[in-house]
Amino acid sequence: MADDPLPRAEIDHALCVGVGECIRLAPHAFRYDKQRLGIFKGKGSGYSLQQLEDAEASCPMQAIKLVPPAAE
Amino acid sequence: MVDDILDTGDLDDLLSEEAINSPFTFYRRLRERNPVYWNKRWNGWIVTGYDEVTAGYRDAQRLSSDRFSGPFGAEVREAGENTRLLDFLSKLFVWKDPPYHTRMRSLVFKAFTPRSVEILRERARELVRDLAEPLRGKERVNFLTDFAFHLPVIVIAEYLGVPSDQRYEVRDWSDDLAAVIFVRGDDKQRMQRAEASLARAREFLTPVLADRRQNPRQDLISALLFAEEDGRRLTEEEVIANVILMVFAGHETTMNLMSNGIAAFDKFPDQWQLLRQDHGLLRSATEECLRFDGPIRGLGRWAKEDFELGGQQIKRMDRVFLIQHAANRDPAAFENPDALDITRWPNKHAAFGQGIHTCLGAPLARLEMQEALAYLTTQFERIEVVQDKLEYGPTMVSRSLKGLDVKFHEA
Ligand code: HEM
Ligand code: SF4
Repeated sequence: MADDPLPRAEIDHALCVGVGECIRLAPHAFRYDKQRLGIFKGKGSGYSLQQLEDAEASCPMQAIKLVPPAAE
Repeated sequence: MVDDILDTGDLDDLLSEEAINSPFTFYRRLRERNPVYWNKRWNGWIVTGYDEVTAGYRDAQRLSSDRFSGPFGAEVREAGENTRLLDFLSKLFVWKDPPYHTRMRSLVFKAFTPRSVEILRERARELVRDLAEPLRGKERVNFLTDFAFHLPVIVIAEYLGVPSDQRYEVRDWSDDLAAVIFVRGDDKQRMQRAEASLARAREFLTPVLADRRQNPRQDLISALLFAEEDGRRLTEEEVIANVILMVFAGHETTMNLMSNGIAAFDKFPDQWQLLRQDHGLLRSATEECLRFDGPIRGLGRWAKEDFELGGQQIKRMDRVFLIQHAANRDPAAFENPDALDITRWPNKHAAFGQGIHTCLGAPLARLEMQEALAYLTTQFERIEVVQDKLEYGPTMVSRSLKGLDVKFHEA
């Protein structure tokens, strides 16, 4: 179970306003891009599923969607 | 429509009949004059453009929320000779800047997890069903007092872990305390009432806290008591302050969201029909109600340094009033802004503010609105506001109906 791959996060930039809740909650999974919008930089480690879920649920603009890792 | 009658009022009078009851024409005139407008009477900047309002909310660096220093500080201190009251107010992180704000918000956030909010959905659904029963078959009900008031207070009380049958008590202290900061001027009596309320709130909460310390439960009070960051926990006083903050930040606002939403659907009955047919729109409908006529008109800040906003020179110590209610109707940001369109998406409204103070309770408010709309649209074929003129409370901050008489038509 421990190495179940983590989901990826997609950020809809039509919605994101760059408040940065995602970055605060999961600094190793999100960062700002040049326009100061949130982007997902996660490489699959350094953060937890809970952090991702918290970011998804806390984004004030509901801009984050978690997508299951592509089934190989 | 009320919104179209008056357009000649005084632009400096933020509490005029027009500003209070027909704000959208008023804000439009202000925005057209200048989206960042100097108001002589209020002695500060009134910001009504979308770009300027959102820029203001995001600039916590230069625009302070601190109510205890700067131009608001003197007022508050003068009014509150009582240091206990002041001391209490100064623990409310919504009126503080970093670093205190950051520390406090992240501790409270630990307790207020979005997941713990989602657990409330079932309960909210149940409550909506019960509360909607008395709306049936009546010629008129006051939706605000008979429905919209109860749902958020019960939900927040149960979530916090205080008995919901004491909700009037909870409402009373939150009202009195909110009046201190929301209403301006130095009304001694208001301060005295707030002090008395604070004392009652403490009396009420102290035994609850003591109990939760011994027997933690799945509630917010327990979570606040035990939340920890860098080895630091909230003090008892801080827990009490935050509990009170949740109640007053969360109850009137959510109540007004539901009431203003019903009033909006009454003006756009086709949107009610659309939502009846497609509950996939509940989420966007909720966002649209927040945009179209949200619970907060605007909030104050003050400048910590000189800077430019929307081409105007803001000076250090100037007061700045950010009106999201106006931003949300700015044609530069929203197509056809004066129409309620529940399919509108994306919808970057600013009803919850933006930046570091963005509403912490947004998931809870959304959940309640979604559940209320889901049930009311299935039960009632049509809603009809049966009141000639809608009247709103005379405050600069909240967009609150005094009452809302509605007839709910069953299918
Ligand atoms: C539709 C309902 C609501 C609206 C429109 C609303 C709006 C807002 C706004 C505009 C702010 C930003 C304040 C600022 O920038 O100075 C805010 C902050 C806050 N809200 Fe809400 N709110 C709502 C419901 C709730 C609920 C249900 C709760 C809690 C149960 C809540 C708790 C808070 C808290 C704790 C803050 C302070 C956050 C901070 O300063 O970091 N709100 N709210
Ligand atoms: S929390 Fe949401 S709005 Fe904020 S930066 Fe992240 S994605 Fe964007």
